[in-house]
Amino acid sequence: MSKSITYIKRHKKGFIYFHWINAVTFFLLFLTAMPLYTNKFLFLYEAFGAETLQTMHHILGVIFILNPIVALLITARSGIFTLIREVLRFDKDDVKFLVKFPAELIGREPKGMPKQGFYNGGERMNILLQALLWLGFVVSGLTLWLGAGHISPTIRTWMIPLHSLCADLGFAAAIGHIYLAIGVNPDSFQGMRDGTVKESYAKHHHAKWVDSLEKEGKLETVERIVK
Amino acid sequence: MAQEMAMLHDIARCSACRACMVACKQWHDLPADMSTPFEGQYQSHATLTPTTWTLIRMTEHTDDKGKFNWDFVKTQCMHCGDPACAKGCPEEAIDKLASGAVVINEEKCVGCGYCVANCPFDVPKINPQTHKSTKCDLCFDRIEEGITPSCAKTCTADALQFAPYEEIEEIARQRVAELKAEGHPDANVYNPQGVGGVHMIYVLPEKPMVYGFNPQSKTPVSIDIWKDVVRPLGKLAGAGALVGVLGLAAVKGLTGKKKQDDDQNGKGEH
Amino acid sequence: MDLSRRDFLKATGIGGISLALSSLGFDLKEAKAAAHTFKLEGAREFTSICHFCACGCGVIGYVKDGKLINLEGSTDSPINRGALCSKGLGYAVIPNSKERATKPLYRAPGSDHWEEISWDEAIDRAAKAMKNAREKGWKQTEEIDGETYEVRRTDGLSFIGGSQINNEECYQNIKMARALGVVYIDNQTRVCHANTPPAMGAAFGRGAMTNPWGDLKNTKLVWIEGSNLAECHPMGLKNVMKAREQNGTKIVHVDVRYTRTSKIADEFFQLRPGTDIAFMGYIISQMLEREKFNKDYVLRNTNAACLLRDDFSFHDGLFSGFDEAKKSYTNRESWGYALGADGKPQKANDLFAPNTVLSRLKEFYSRYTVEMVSNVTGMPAEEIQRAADIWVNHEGPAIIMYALGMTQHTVGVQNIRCFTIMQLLKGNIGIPGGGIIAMRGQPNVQASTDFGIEFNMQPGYLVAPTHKTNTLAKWTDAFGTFRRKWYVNMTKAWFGEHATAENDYGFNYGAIRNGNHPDSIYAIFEDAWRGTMHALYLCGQNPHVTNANAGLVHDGLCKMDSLVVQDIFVNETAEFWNRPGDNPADIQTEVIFLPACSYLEREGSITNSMRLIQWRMKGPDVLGDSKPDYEINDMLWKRIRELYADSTDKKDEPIKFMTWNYRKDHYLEDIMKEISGYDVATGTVVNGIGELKDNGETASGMWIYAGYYGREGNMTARRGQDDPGNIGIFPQFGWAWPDNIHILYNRASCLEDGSPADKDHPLVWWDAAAGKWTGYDVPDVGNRTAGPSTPAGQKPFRMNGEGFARIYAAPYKDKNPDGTTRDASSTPVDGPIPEHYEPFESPTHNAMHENENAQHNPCIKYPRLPEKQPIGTKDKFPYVLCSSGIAEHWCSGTVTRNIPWLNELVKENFVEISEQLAKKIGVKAGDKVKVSSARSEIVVKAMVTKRAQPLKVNGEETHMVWMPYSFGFKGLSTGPSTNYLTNDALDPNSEEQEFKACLVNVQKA
Ligand SMILES: Nc1nc2c(c(=O)[nH]1)N[C@H]1C(S)=C(S)[C@@H](COP(=O)(O)OP(=O)(O)OC[C@H]3O[C@@H](n4cnc5c(=O)[nH]c(N)nc54)[C@H](O)[C@@H]3O)O[C@H]1N2
Ligand SMILES: Nc1nc2c(c(=O)[nH]1)N[C@H]1C(S)=C(S)[C@@H](COP(=O)(O)OP(=O)(O)OC[C@H]3O[C@@H](n4cnc5c(=O)[nH]c(N)nc54)[C@H](O)[C@@H]3O)O[C@H]1N2
Ligand code: HEM
Ligand code: HEM
Ligand code: SF4
Ligand code: SF4
Ligand code: SF4
Ligand code: SF4
Ligand code: SF4
Ligand SMILES: [Mo]
Repeated sequence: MSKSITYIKRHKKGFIYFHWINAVTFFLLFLTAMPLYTNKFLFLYEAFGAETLQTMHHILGVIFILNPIVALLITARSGIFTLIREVLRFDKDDVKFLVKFPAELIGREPKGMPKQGFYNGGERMNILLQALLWLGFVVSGLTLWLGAGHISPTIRTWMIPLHSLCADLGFAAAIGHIYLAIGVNPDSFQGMRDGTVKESYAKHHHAKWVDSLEKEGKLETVERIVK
Repeated sequence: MAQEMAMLHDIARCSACRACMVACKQWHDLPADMSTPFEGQYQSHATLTPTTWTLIRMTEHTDDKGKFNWDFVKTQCMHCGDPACAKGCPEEAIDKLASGAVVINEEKCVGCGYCVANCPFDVPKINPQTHKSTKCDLCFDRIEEGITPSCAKTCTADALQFAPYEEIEEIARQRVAELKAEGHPDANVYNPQGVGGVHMIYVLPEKPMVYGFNPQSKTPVSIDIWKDVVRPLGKLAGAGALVGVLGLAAVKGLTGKKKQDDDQNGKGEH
Repeated sequence: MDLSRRDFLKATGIGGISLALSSLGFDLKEAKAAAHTFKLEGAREFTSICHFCACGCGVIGYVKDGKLINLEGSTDSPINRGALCSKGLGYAVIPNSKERATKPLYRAPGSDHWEEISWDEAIDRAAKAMKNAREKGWKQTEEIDGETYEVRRTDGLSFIGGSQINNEECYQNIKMARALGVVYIDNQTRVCHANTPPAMGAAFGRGAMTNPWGDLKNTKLVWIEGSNLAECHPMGLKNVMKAREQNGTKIVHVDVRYTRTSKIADEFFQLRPGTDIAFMGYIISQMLEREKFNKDYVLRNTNAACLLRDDFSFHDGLFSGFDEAKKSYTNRESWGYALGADGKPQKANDLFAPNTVLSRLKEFYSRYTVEMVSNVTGMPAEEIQRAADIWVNHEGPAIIMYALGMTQHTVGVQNIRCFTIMQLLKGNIGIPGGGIIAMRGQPNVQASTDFGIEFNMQPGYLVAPTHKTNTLAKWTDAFGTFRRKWYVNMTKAWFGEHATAENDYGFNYGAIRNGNHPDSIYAIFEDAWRGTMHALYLCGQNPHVTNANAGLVHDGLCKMDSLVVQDIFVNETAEFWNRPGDNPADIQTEVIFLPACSYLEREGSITNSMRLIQWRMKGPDVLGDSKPDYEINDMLWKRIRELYADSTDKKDEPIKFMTWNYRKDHYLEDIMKEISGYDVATGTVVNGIGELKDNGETASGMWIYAGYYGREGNMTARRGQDDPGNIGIFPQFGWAWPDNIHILYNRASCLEDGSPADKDHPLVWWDAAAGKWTGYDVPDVGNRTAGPSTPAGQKPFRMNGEGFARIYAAPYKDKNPDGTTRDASSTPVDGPIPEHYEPFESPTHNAMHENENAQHNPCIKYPRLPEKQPIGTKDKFPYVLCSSGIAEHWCSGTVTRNIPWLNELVKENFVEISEQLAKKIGVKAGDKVKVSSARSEIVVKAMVTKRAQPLKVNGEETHMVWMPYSFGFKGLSTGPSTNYLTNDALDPNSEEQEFKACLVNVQKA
């Protein structure tokens, strides 16, 4: 039996690329630096060579820095603007959402969830956090990498804990984020694959967004036959 | 227990013959480093380099009395009592030996550069060829054989001395007294306590700043924050996140049936 | 030489803190367990003597698989106690250096490259080239001053070098040269310390540094004038530091520039190059005026109270007896003593009676007022006064340390004479913590001078015969029976059975010089330019970089037939035909290069500045096909001799008769025995000078080294650590000439009765009970059983004809009872008292004299070769250039510019200028500037520094600039040679040039 499901266009190609490049470099950066973080990962240095991994960390760092910039300027302007706009629009509903949201984590359906925009309160928090961490990584990472002789040693010494802190928070947040994306809301995952989400999912989770799209007549839908 | 040793550089006596620089390279088989071009200065290198573990800095200054001074300062690892480099080394590749020598273990070093960032005296340098951190090792191998470190042994003006810590402290005190009597009221021993004291002690005729020394140098607290707060917290957070997520998934798997609302609320079936 | 390993470790172990540590409970074993294998484990140790300066530091090397793996100072050396300077350490790369030439090389006339050739071919070519040149330039007779003399010499072949090779090699070289009839022979001493022996000799009878390094610790005042101790004799500094530590000794530095020595000194006084006589003249005047001198010492030990002739005069800057046309003092009689009926100098009762030495001196220097001296030197009057006060008021022993700042002037001898006067007045000669530390430069320049690798000397400071002294009788009349004995021992050693009483022990196998013509290192290239000098054998010197007016060296070489170079590197002189910018095809000189091995690769003895002879052991294997110099010398001489095997020409007899009986497996030992001396009949070696006879029964190649290989064997290899009296003498460490005396003239430390004048610091004394002189040092008494009441026991300065020291250098011959000359005292040719004259090229007029003949030293003859020796004047070349060594490089730089560790410290040539001058010519540090003189111009970077300061000279602001001279076009670091600029006007006493002052211009390049 097959049925036709309506999908709504949510993310543009450029933004999807941006996301995945970001996601992958993030993990590779994490991995390439892990041996420094804990000796349990020293085997990585032994396997690939400390210098190689550190060089990779630096190259990936460059990608990690450039990716959002390129996205903002060229490839995913609207997607990034959306991110920024959404973060700036954080409101009462988002607070309510955050209060009620935890139940979703274990698969429950919280009652009286307020309607959510393009990104919900949690996502908005995530965006903000990731943006700040990005800045933290960039500043601390570049200082550690290239700062010798240019930046005062006292400042430089602080970059190590800062960088570590970013990695800690970033990692924890990423885990949560992935869990939500894969474990809790697999439907959202679709959005990061082909840019569309089920209409039903969208209406349920991002009602404000769907409403506004409808009002503006900008709702683009795609029908798909599902077996 | 091994004896704690120390080296002394008596700035008033140093002639900048730079034998110590060559002695260091000779003993450690370090190649010459021509990275600093000649631009009308005597000083050979702008800073320590991966193959230059000790450098005589040569500066000119005219003091309050209008007297011209040519100052020579031997820079090298200070062999801190509380070495930031060792503390902050993620690989524990830097050992503080009983003799006071702070020594990089090449085998363990992964060249991350944290010691470079942490050292309050800008000492360690990563050698790009070997990708290891490098610096003066106080000739610990010689000390173990009962031989004076190469630079101190060769000093042509007896400006460098090497002896048990207390002896050096005593010599330094005496020299400062002498310098004061000779008309250097600001003479002092440079042995910054902020880094736990050093095993490379200086006798300075004038205030430390004159020679580019910071009396306030200290082992950065950021290392403690990093080691004692950030890292444990980070590990906790990382592990917590993982465990949490797994736990959540487990709970979810046990309690909630798969959410199907999206599908059900989907637009019509065909 | 045969030390068991255990002793060896004890003696030389690189040592340090182990004793301290074990006594403090440092558990070495425990510590060791933690570490990896120690670098030196399993290596073979050997000791040697540093190859650079004449401090003569002991080194200890470590060899693994025939290769040197470590080099440092040996702790048992009393000189350096484990330390080495940057150069001494840097030498560690030389035994393995890829830059070394390790194959004999040949450069054909007109060729633009070297070819590798076999040793056989190289030696054959070298021998033939030398033979050809010898024949081409042979002079059997010569007309001199209107008379014909048999001269038996060649003017076509020349020898240069000696300071870089061991004693035994020096001896081979001098024998070769003398056998060939070569008189154009010279070594580094010419350009370095040639002015020292005539000056010190004129005062004390010997030309050498008086006190050993180890004794410096006993002094209370160190007066460093004209020396860059910290940079050029670092271990001299180390010993001075001991004095400062123990006695709170004051260190005074008088120099023309602020150097690293000034930094460690307590007081620094700056003056203009070449004006020290004015400065010291004032100090001497103050000592005499204020009567602040050691009256007792002066009366006992010097000619201070001697009466002088009253026909002496000094007018307009000239002493009596000057011949303007000849530019020389042709009549020096008036400078002499008013001799008594016995032909001996007479002493007045009152030191300042009319015509005593001291009253003449006092009057002479009364012209040196502080204002006058300030005008001349550029030193402010208060500073001059302060400096004088330090010296004049000082109590206790003081030493004067000097080197090239004094010697390298056209008034070099008289500069140093001032020191001898200052120290004799203070009573500081012959005592611990006193003396004049004349610091030789090159590692073995002391010995190459001892061995007479000089045109004017034979081994042991016996004057080389000239037309005026062309027979043994005439020679003896001039220099005395005292020295005849040594001469005869030398020729006996040289000509063996051919030296007989009948032929004056072979005196006549030797060449006769033209006494009017100095055959110095400068003459070699001038005569090459003139076309009469055809070949040069160069052994370890680099005149293309280091001679003054070096362009002339190049041009001279271009005109020679052959050049034979024996060196460890192909230096600039060897490759002169390949100078950048020249076309090799235009240069027809053939060059044969003989690769020597480095000092670490061979054994032999070497003599440092304090006359200490030390032994060098062989360390690593020789590199490639290079060979020890003594082996090369041996091959070369044997080949030359072969070439003459069939000759029946009388002129070739010295070649055939010259002894050369050295067993292959005891080669150096045999040479040493010959130098030291032996009984001709039995072959037994002598133990000292005292055993030499004047009748041919003994032979000794060089009397002053007699005993250095004695019946106990090789004295130079001794490493005894005893220091009786704790004076710093270490009599059982190596062996010092003469007779292992360490503090020369130490008899002067005793009263007439032979007891120490300073009871608290005895040095030597007469032991009445034992009936001999004894003490901590070997007493400097000719016959040690001659009591203080006998004439021989009463000569504090026994090497002077007078038997005492000469504050005033009167010409004097001491007669034997039979009327023959016993000994003669020498007098500088330019005056018995030092007088200030301007440097040859000077930025000002001589403030002391209007007389044009007295602007500079009146006896200078210059230019000698006008087309090659232009003279610069102040209008075009307003600044004074001083050039000298720098701590991190060595002389021509051949060796040090091939040591990367030293190149990183000093990377290129430069000119040091003041901020004021930089501003004036619009440059800043690091900018390129053109430095030009009347002779040439070069471009280097400017070092702008507060260390350099202009001086007010005769009311005018005067700038001095400074350059090192250690650069050339070969090696790992290259740069233009400073010596293209310098000037080769010479001190008339010694033919030494004025490196420390010439005129240049400096402009933005
Ligand atoms: N590092 C190093 N060491 C060396 C050498 C080297 O090339 N490099 N060379 C070796 C040799 S061969 C020698 S001979 C010795 C030389 O040793 P030094 O004589 O100590 O060396 P210099 O620097 O030539 O000259 C000594 C000082 O004399 C000063 N001076 C110049 N003119 C005058 C003057 O008119 N009056 C006074 N009062 N001072 C003056 C110079 O500024 C300099 O500081 O060093 C030996 N040691
Ligand atoms: N402008 C200026 N010029 C100066 C001076 C100055 O103060 N100013 N100083 C002068 C003085 S004091 C001196 S002494 C001279 C020095 O002048 P040089 O003697 O010409 O200079 P070095 O560099 O010592 O040259 C020694 C040579 O010996 C070679 N050599 C080294 N070891 C051995 C060995 O074992 N065997 C052989 N066969 N060769 C060996 C070296 O490679 C080098 O080529 O320079 C003089 N020139
Ligand atoms: C902006 C880009 C980044 C740059 C320039 C950068 C640079 C660096 C540098 C220079 C180091 C020191 C060691 C080395 O040189 O390898 C380092 C360490 C590290 N980096 Fe990055 N990095 C960046 C981003 C990231 C990201 C995104 C992560 C992922 C979480 C990360 C994780 C780490 C970790 C965990 C360490 C070790 C920290 C510690 O030992 O406490 N970095 N980084
Ligand atoms: C396997 C790993 C990952 C998956 C499956 C995943 C999935 C997703 C999905 C499905 C979305 C879209 C949510 C939506 O449309 O509303 C999203 C958005 C986003 N992702 Fe990821 N992601 C991953 C890794 C990462 C990583 C490592 C980062 C950052 C370090 C990241 C940062 C973001 C951000 C900032 C957004 C937008 C806001 C948000 O939706 O939370 N993602 N991700
Ligand atoms: S060896 Fe001694 S005198 Fe020479 S530069 Fe080093 S510390 Fe100074
Ligand atoms: S000076 Fe720097 S490198 Fe040396 S011990 Fe102290 S912190 Fe470590
Ligand atoms: S570079 Fe080496 S020694 Fe320095 S902190 Fe990193 S691992 Fe440790
Ligand atoms: S102690 Fe050893 S490693 Fe350190 S500067 Fe001196 S010679 Fe070099
Ligand atoms: S150059 Fe002179 S001071 Fe330096 S190590 Fe050699 S002998 Fe000693
Ligand atoms: Mo010299």
